[in-house]
Amino acid sequence: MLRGNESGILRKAIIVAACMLILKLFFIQVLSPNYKLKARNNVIKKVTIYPSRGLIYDRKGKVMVYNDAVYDILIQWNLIKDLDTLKLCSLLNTDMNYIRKRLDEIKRTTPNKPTPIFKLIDQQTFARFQEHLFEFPAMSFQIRTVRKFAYKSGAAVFGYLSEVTQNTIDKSNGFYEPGDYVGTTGIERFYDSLLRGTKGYSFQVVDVKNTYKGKYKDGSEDIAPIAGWDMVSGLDAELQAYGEKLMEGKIGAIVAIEPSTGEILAFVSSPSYDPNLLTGRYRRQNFNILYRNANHPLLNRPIQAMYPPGSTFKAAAALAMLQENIHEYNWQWFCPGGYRVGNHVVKCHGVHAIPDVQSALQHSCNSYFCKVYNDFIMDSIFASPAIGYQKWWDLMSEFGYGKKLGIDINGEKRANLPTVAYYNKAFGEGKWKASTIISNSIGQGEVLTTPLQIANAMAIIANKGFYISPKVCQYLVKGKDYRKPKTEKHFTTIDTLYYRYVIDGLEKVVQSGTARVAQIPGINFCGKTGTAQNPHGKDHSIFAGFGPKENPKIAIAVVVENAGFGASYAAPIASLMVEKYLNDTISKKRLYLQERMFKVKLIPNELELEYQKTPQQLYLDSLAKVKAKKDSIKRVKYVQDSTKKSQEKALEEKKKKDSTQLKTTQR
Amino acid sequence: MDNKRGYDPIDGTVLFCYLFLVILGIMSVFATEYNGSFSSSFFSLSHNYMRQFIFAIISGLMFITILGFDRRILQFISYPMYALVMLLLLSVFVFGERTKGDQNWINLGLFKLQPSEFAKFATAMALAKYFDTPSMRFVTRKEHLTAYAIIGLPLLMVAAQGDAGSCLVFAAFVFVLNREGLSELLIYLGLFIITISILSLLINPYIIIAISLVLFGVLIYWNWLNKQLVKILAIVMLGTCFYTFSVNYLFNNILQKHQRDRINVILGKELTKEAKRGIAYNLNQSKIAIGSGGIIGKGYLHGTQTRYNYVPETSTDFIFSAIGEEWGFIGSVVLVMVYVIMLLRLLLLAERQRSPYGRVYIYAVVAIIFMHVFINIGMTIGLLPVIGIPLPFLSYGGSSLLSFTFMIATALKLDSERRMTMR
Ligand SMILES: [Zn+2]
Repeated sequence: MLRGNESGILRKAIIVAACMLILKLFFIQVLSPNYKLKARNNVIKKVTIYPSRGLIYDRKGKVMVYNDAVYDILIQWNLIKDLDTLKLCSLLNTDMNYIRKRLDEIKRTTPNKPTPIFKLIDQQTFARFQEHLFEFPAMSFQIRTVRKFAYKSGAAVFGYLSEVTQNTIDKSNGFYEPGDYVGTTGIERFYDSLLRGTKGYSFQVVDVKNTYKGKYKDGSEDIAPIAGWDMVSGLDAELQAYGEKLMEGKIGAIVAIEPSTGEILAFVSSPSYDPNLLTGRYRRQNFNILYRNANHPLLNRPIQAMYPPGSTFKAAAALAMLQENIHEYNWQWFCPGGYRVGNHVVKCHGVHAIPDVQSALQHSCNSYFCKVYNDFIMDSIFASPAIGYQKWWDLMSEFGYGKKLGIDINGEKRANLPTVAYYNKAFGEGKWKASTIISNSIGQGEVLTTPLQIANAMAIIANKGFYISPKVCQYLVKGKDYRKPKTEKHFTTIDTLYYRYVIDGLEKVVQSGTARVAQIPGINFCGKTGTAQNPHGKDHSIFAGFGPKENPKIAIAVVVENAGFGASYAAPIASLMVEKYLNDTISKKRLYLQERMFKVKLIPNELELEYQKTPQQLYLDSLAKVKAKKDSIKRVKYVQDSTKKSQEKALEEKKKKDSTQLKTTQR
Repeated sequence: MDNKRGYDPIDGTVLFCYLFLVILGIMSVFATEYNGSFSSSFFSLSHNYMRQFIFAIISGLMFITILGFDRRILQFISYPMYALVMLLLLSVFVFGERTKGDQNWINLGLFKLQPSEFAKFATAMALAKYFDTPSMRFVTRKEHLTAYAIIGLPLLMVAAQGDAGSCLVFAAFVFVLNREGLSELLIYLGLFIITISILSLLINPYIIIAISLVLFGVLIYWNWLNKQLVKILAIVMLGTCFYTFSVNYLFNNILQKHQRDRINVILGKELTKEAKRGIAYNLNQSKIAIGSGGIIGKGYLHGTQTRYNYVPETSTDFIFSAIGEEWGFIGSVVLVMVYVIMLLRLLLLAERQRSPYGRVYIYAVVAIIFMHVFINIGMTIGLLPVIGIPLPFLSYGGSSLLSFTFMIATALKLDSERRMTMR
């Protein structure tokens, strides 16, 4: 029967083929470990669990800032089949163009991954969408948190979060990933690394379509997130909200400090806005509206706006005089209604006899302080005006003028206490004397201060000679851990005795001087009005004070732009703030004052008008306004530079006219 | 059994291997569908594993039925069945459905019939029947041409349908012809052509020609070969030169795009975007699945790549990926060894047949199964181009399981009655 090749080649072929298969299997299953890694990367999705950002409390333990759940709606482009965009539009209050634009972006960047198409959708809108989620198989969602501000106030102090920039990502040592939010201004920025907490991760098993298939190893490799540090701030939530309400319709700032600790009690920048506008879905659009607003609500006025301190400067000037013994406290001066410098007169408010320094403060006598300033700088014990001025500068800068105070909010300006070098450069060395720069004596001229500096100077007087660097944060807590921000105590070199004289004078200002409107029943409130000349328009109304006199609990500065005399707006507002803080309520007979302050609107409140619109309207409006964007950037830049420029301009003009043409009126 | 009557018990080794593979097949199909929990619809026929289970029961019944047949009936129906299946293959051109560019299905409503699977079985029977012809010596030109025609007819038809896998399986019948006397040179020539083809696609034709000329020169110089062989080699060398230049043309014009991509993937050549997303992605996922199994595997039902659909077609063509992932290197080797044992045992059975019918038939079955296993596993691990061909007994699919069952059952039946043939 045997025929052909019994030991055919097939047997060999089978054995050879089997060996080839086994050899290749050995290579990929035993020798190359990277297939295991690849398999892991395939199947295991690392899902970030965002930590809860630290809460922020006020000094009485009330929650001011907390977190709220919102939703990102994701779409995986490669799974899209018949997307009902019309329905999406109506469910999520958006327009076709946006969806198309966003889908295009996703298609180009991450078509195989669920990618946010709508971010930070609020709970109500999401609930409506969720009922229809099954109709959109390519879509899913993730939970995020946004900040919520219980008192709708404190925008300037808390600041806002925004999406990280590539720069921040690179600097964060891997903490931040694209799409994360980071504190960009305010204490959200300053304490970002503590408030943000530590991210957690969950490892999920997903199939090829990225659908969740369960936890990897039952979650045993998951890392739980660690919540951020909670902050107890020195703010008084109600005082903060009250301050913002008082400032409604006015441009300006309020800073209130607890003198003994340097804690910020209130920090108002006006016009303000509900900080909740800059969280959530319409964050960007609302930001654009705020950014373009002519009144610059995003400018942090307490630390960034620079105003001439006006007569509030006189308190420190008086202390400098007493310390250097230029004149005794009871030196007498007869005010002829002005102070003559060359052929120019610094006007005063009348002809009066000034028996002592208290009286000078009480009546805010310009000629008294011009004379004192002149005598200080031109004093014979100093070899030259420059040396005299340097001494004056040294003492004034002890009050924090012209330097950063180190508040825990970024962007603080040092403002300007002009130096000897500054004047040497402007006028030439030896070519200037007290009369050249006489306006400084009454807080005008080149002197510029921030509201924070004005308040802090009052805190120094209240403390009789020291200040603690102002801080918003009292302390941070995480479980049992506790952290306090670093504070420094800064002393002045001025004798405590002199503070008593000046404080008595400031008391008289309120009792029987320029700020009688600021009297608070039962409280010895001390303060000083100021009216800052403004080259661009009506004078700024300023008031700085503290109370109670015996045991100061609050030092305050109020600036209301273009509002005229210090006594007209700043003093009443300051006194209401202090009364509110110390007594919790406003006494009946002062309610009329409160009402008057509430009612006064010095600027048409466009912002308020815009807030009344629904977010949807706001968004559509902002689309219409996109064209205006370019201009508004120019405008903002212009405003940022304008203070500086107008100063330089004024200085140059002054140089030409040899500084004798200035007309200053102080009250 | 009654040895006097010439019955032997059916071969235990092959039967054991068969059962092992079928059961492993159902388990593996189940593993690719198992979603982590047993739901109430566990027994629903919407699951492939349940359908495969039903197919297995039908196959079992078929197995027993065939064992009950008289071997003469089997021999008798060989030609009619061949004719019937050829008609079925032809009808695919009319009623067929295309899947992934290959036109080889007939939709029967309940399930899709794949005539090419049955064609292999029928061709094996017909070829055996032809060699069983008493006067057959496989020497004359007519005998050769007839044998070639029996194989060539279905081969051409499946080739026309774009079924490259089945095409290669029919080519495997050359092993049978080799057993029956055809020179091995034909097989070596085939291997030689494949090697030259791959080289031509990979490197410059001039380099290949230069190398072969140098080799040729060296061989003549050393005078290792007799003059006759030198003449043959010279012809081969000339043919190679022409062929080398035509490979690229043939590759780009005869092969379809998806076939070119499959070959390019294996050769590691630059791929089109489409191929990267498609064929290269699939192959890579399959390799990741098998590679991630490691030495001992992830454990049954613990595979992730295959269960979560990273590997395409896990229940059919890529079922080996699931086995490689869950059972690891050890499991994979065991599986390959089971196939090797089954095939070598079948070869042994073939040689002990007394009739050419039995011998040729079993030999053909071995060639068919061998080709399937080698191509299928080779493709999932990146040894061979991706060719759509089921893994015998394991891949999900009724046509495939039934036809392989027919093959084995018939082989075992023939073997158990081998003593009855006294001619
Ligand atoms: Zn006067």
